Amino acid sequence: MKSSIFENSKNIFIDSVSVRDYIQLDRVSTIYQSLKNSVKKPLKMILLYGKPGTGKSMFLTKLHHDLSSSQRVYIYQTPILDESEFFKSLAQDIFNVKYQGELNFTQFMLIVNKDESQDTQVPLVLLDEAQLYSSALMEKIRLLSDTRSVKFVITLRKTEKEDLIAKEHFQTRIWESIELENASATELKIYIQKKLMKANCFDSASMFSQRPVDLIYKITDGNYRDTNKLIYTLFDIYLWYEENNSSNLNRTVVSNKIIEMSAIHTGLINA
Amino acid sequence: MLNVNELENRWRKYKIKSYTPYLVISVSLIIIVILLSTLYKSKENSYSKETQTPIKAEPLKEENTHIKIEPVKVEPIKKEVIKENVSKVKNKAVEVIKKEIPLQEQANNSANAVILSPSLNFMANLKHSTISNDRSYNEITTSSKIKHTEKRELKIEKKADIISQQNTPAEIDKIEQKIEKKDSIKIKRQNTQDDISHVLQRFEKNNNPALSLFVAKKYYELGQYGKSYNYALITNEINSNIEISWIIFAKSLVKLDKKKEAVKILKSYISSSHSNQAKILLEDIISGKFI
Repeated sequence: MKSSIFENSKNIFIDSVSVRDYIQLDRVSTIYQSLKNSVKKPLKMILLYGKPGTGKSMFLTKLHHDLSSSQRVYIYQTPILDESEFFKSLAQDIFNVKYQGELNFTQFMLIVNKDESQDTQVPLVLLDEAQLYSSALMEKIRLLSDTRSVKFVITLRKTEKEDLIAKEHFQTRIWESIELENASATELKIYIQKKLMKANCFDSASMFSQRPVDLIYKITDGNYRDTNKLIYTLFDIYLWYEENNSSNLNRTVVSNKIIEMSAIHTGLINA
Repeated sequence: MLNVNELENRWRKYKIKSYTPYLVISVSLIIIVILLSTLYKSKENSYSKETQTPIKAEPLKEENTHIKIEPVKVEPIKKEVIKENVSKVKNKAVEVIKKEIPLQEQANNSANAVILSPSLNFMANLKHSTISNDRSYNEITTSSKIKHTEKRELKIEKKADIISQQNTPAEIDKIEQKIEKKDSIKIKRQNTQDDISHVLQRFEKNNNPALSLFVAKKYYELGQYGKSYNYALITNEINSNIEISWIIFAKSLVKLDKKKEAVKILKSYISSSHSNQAKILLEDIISGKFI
């Protein structure tokens, strides 16, 4: 059985953090390049912050992917909330030391000082969702970065609470901070079309003219995660109509009705 | 798994929900507009009523006062007049008329504080209207003549106004006299003389007694009694049965201080013709009414 174009299009918008799904937009590319430049600088810590769904995790994954061939880069997408486990993971990944039992910050610092590796380049540790770490652990991460033995790139959700954390722990120590924002309507159109065309879904891509994209933008406010969720559901509904032989199905342009139905289903519209 | 049918229902509800604010706003706007229009109309009506009522009320009040006052003030006068009239009619009608005036004066004096008397203008109007309706053709012609003279007077007045603006009062008087003289001479003498000369020319051609009689009449009117006597005599010689010719003949003799001859001629004419006009004239001459 021949797979539908809607089926293929739907699968593109599965919410996953994969380098393959990274879409190069002008503004995003500029920000990414500035992040790469910051990494090369002798900075202790870099803060990447923004609202949920603005692409922080994707940036971090992309950075890890791009730099892993040239330097030691370690990414922790899921926060390790236990302090001992966190330092044990770092010791094993960076210094190749498999520690038995509890590992506290003092013991970890001894491992760091005993490191006899000839690599002059400071290892880069990428910590996603850093707002989930405790204040005590964040303070130890700061102390560790001050030793210049490990460089950290951390991401923070920009909420009122996380802003407070940033102020308390990183404001004076972070040398570079980069904010990620939602896409504009034009960027969102390019994002959707590029994403579809990258998977050779040209028919589906042509369905997203500015009018339906404007409605999507109005619903999602340009948030990439919400947009992915919405369009995934949208193609799911299209698929249902196609399977049920609906003669009224418009394949030239995305129907506002289906966009709104998708938004209702995903909870973006409270109906 | 997607339940699209349920999702469609939710979508319909959502659309209705999303349109309700617009519907509410539009409906409320329509209601407001209707209310405003009705209010405006009602205000207009009330305003028109307010403006109309005083206009209606004022004359009514005035009428009421007239109605109330008139009988109070006039009734005693009428009663007195009637009583006096009744008593006086028994005696003499003339005295009643003479006494009505002082009585009215007394009544007026008694009501000196508030002088309210019934307007009798309508009586005058009624008289005028009846007179105007009963006018004969002659009266109309005379009135037209009067109008002509009035117009002439108006013209003279206009001229006088123009002159008065330019000249002194003494000069104006002279000019007015000149205008009056010129108008009277020109109109009367020229017309009659022309007429008489014209008629005489015709009379010479055909010896028509009607023409000679016309000339006799005109001369009599002009006070040239000798000429009127001659032309009356000529008329009588042509036709001795024309009554008016004999009368003018007799009148001219009287005017020429030949009363006796006039009486003789009239008597002889009456004996032959039995003319009533001649009889009346004879009586008038004898009694001295016609001089």
